[in-house]
Amino acid sequence: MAALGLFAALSRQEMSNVMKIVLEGRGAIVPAPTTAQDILDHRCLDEALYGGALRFEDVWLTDDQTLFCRMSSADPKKPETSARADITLQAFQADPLREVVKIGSMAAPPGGAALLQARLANPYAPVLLLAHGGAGEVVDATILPFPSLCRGGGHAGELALLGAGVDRLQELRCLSDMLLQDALGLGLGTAAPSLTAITVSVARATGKERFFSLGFQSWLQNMVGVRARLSEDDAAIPDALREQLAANLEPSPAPAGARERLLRREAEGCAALYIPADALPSLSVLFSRRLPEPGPAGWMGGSVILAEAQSSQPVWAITVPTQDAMLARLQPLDSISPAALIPANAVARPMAVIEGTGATGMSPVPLAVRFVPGREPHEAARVFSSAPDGGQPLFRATLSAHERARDSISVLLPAQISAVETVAFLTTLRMQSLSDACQILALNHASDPERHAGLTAALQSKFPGQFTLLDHAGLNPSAALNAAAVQARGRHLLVAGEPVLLNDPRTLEALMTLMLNPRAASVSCACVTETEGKSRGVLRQHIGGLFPARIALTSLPNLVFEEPSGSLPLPPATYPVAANPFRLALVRAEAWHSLGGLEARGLPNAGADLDFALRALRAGWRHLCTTAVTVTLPRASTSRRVTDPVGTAFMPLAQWQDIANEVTLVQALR
Amino acid sequence: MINLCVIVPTAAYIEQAGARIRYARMEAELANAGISLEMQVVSDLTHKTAPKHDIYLLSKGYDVRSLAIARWIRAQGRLIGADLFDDYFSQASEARLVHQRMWLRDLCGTLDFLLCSTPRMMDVASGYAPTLPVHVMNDPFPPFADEDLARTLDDNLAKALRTRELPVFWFGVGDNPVFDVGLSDLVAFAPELSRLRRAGFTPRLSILTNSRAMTIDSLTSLRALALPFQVEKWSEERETAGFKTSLVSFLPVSGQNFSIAKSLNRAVSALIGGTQVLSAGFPLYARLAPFIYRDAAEIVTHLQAGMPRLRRDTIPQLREVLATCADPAVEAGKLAAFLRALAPAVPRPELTTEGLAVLHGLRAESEHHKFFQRLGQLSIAGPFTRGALNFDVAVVASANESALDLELAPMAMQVLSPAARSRLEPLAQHSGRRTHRLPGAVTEQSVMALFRDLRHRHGQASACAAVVELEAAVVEALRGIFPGTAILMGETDPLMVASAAALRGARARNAVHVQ
Repeated sequence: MAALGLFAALSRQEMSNVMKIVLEGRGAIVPAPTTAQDILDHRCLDEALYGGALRFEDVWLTDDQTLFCRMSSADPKKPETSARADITLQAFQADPLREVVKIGSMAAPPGGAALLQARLANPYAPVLLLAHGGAGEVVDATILPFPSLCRGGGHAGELALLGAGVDRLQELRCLSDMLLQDALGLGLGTAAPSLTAITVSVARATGKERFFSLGFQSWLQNMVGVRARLSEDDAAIPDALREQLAANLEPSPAPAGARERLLRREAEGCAALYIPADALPSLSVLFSRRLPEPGPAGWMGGSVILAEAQSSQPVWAITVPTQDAMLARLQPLDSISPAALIPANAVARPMAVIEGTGATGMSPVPLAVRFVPGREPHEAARVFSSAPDGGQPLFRATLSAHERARDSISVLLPAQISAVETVAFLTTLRMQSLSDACQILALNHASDPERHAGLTAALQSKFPGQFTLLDHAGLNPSAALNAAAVQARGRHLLVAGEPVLLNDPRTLEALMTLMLNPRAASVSCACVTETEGKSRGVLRQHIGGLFPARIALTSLPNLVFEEPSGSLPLPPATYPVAANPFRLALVRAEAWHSLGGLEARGLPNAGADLDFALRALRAGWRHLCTTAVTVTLPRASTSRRVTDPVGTAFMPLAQWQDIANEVTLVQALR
Repeated sequence: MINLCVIVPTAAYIEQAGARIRYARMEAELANAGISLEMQVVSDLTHKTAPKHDIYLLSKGYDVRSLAIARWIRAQGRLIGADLFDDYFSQASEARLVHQRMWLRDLCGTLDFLLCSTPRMMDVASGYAPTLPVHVMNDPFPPFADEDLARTLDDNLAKALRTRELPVFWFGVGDNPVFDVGLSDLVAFAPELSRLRRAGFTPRLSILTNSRAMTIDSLTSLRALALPFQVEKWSEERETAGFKTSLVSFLPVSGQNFSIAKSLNRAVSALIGGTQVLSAGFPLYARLAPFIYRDAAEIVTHLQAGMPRLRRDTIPQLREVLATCADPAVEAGKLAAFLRALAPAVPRPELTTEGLAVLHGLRAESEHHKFFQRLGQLSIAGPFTRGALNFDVAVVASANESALDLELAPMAMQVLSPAARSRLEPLAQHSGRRTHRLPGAVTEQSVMALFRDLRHRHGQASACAAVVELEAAVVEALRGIFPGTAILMGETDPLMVASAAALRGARARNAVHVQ
């Protein structure tokens, strides 16, 4: 029964102490000392306890305190089972600050189903499940080493990301087995745990986050052996709050040996972890012995899972690619800094590393699970991601007076949008803080005099002396935009290919600020759609950019791109994306011209924007999309899903991975 | 004797805990300090009753009526201040609260002083009005008898030791429309309560909260509480009874700005109600430290020894501590000294002659409309205002939608510019109190194009930027037509208010860059 030894080792308990409690003086068995082979052979949540007499059907948490195991017991009449009489299943857990306690018990009659409910002493500490025969003797045992991986637990999102989502119980077993081996360090040679310590951001920390809870901190320090500290350089908070948060990171009293483990780990590891206050470190990063070293002055990004705070239901997995220091400065001012692996000696001042240098690579394992409120933001917050009244800048980087004066924008307005919709757009464009820098190039067809008259009047009124009406003379939409771009004088082209309204007068300024990244070929922003509700419209925010979603295994495999749509919006950030749809995008004129504009012959209508974006990526350009400002799409459109428009003919398989390395990966989780 | 009038939003508010604690408890002590206190509901103010008090204090009315009252009172040569005790103002990144921030910015321009409930709130307020005098008035405790308190403490302790049951009490507002507080804090910090389950004691929790907070989600979240609990609707009587029968009041506080600006009043109420206080999270109650437990396990230890922090022989010490931060006599004396030291109201000629008008936004609040009319001022329906109220002025489209006209009541006609008055036409059919039409109030083609476009636009997100642009044009026109009248914006929709702030900010930035 390796389970007893594994439980003792993971729980940092003396074996004799475990035996004393769990056997309740019956003393039926004396397990042999646990060997490496025992651990490698053991299967967490053993599929067939006691020779198949008892099977786990499902395991889940309803909250951080309550664990349920749904079991079925085999029919004793069936010859293939070795079940004999009633079996009792007991659950035990070690409170990190105390001793082993029984947390639940259940009698499983033969040939029936049963439900074990256990009151967890700690939502993260391992659970020992012990099967007793009719005479009270221990007949089998297994462990649930990481209960927080179960559905409803704090790390459920990690299982959702790493599993295939087909057989959750089997995937729980597999992931638990793998983590267990890393946690105990057997079968892997002499490699030490990689993580030395955790630095938690104090930005927006309130102290009620899971990370600061007594249960998590006591497990983290006393069972895992990792110490947490507060970041000193990422936000200003009241002294009393800082002191309180720091006190939460010092659970007391520490059991014997805990301090030595902390110090040993700090000496032997190679990287520290920086996470937001609303996050928990992933189990993978806590136990990994294979994390790369970020280097003395670099840092590494990685996947972060987003889960709904109350239910722990995972929603998104987000992987932001390796990014340079400039991109860090183009994050919205009130956004939460990303989780990152940082040098082990930078635990106090992680932002100096993240904002001061570029990333040096990616973590091979997910870094954290963030918990975000389940209720959708108020409609004012959806339309104005950044409050418009404080006068504070949108990003850490801002346009200098010289840059504001130098940069000019040519606005390309295609002919297929009605005069009314174009005028509505122009109204919001006129309200922009950079509207005086705009040259308007409005496409029109001579055969549509009514539209011509309407546009002329509106442009004369709003942009006198700043506009030109162009006759597109029967060109297709892509060719017409190319023709307009030839006449553009601006350093940047604002393509407004669909009816769109700029909600925030800082929208142009925000897009121009993103262009401070010299590799940005195109930039765009989040959008809002509105559908009719009972008493008023229902707003929905979309990220705005296109992300790689999956490979369509057709005869000619295609990479499929999507604008993700989920129950929760993505967190505020500036994301590197695969493409910015040309419903509204600011394009660097240099990139446009160097790439020859749009592929008008092959893609006269749809898909030209994605094609342009992919060609730009191949040429070394990047595309950014920010949530700092939003636009409204008055024609409520559904999220866009498109395939690589020219398939493998254009984008060889080997280059698909290059795309994945350069853009944010967003995966909806279930 | 100084006459102080607290202006409150509703009659019901006077009965609520906030007003009772903050004002009613002070009444007698303020009188001793030479200040007579009266509370007046905002709807009772009319133009027929000139302000008779020396000093006015606005309490919790984050809307256009406060702005109007401040100007009106100030115009009458009286001092006026505002009492700030909820922090809806320091969350600079929260777009939903633009309305509150703009309200305070606008209001501070007319006020003579600010009153705050805590030093933290004073810091927030000072950020808006660095030059205004600010005073912190702590929430006072109610009178209590030492012997009654001692008996409750003795009884509860004896019962807990006898039964080994440990009754814990959580009381208060369980939710907030903007912030995650109340029951959410209780659930987040509840693991601390499980540490009470030792030495044979069994904790059980009683929760008293407001009905609005008892949503399915919040009640479901209570599942995570690791101890038996019951939930009841809050009432003052139940709160008093809860103190009498509970050994411990549990007061968790999260570190968000809204929570850390709160006063000590919950802890003070719990202590003089007869319970021990266990506080988790942010150390909001540090000033009461000798009587505040921060570790549940320590309560059990003290109970076993029969020596909890608050007991019969520490009541005198409690009085000493309360005297430093919640004594009504002390607070009344300090407030009186502060008010006496205020500079006399400086006449503001620009306010004494001006009229006031509210321009309603998308939805006209009936209470606001009535208030302005009672005050003898104008209630104006904007071009997109919904609601069939009897406005003094309505901005309406001309027959062919080429201009915006005004429909006017006789009172509005009295304050028209001479030029506008000469263009008045009688309405063929009166529209409520409105009898005349002023054609062509707004004729600019671009504005009218915007108006026509908006008439056919559905949905607020796609319209908000254009609506505020149009409203700005209307305000500009109204200022010319009513030259002696201050136009106050009555918009209450957070999205529209945020849009207006965005437009205002863009214009300010453009003006700076043009210079």
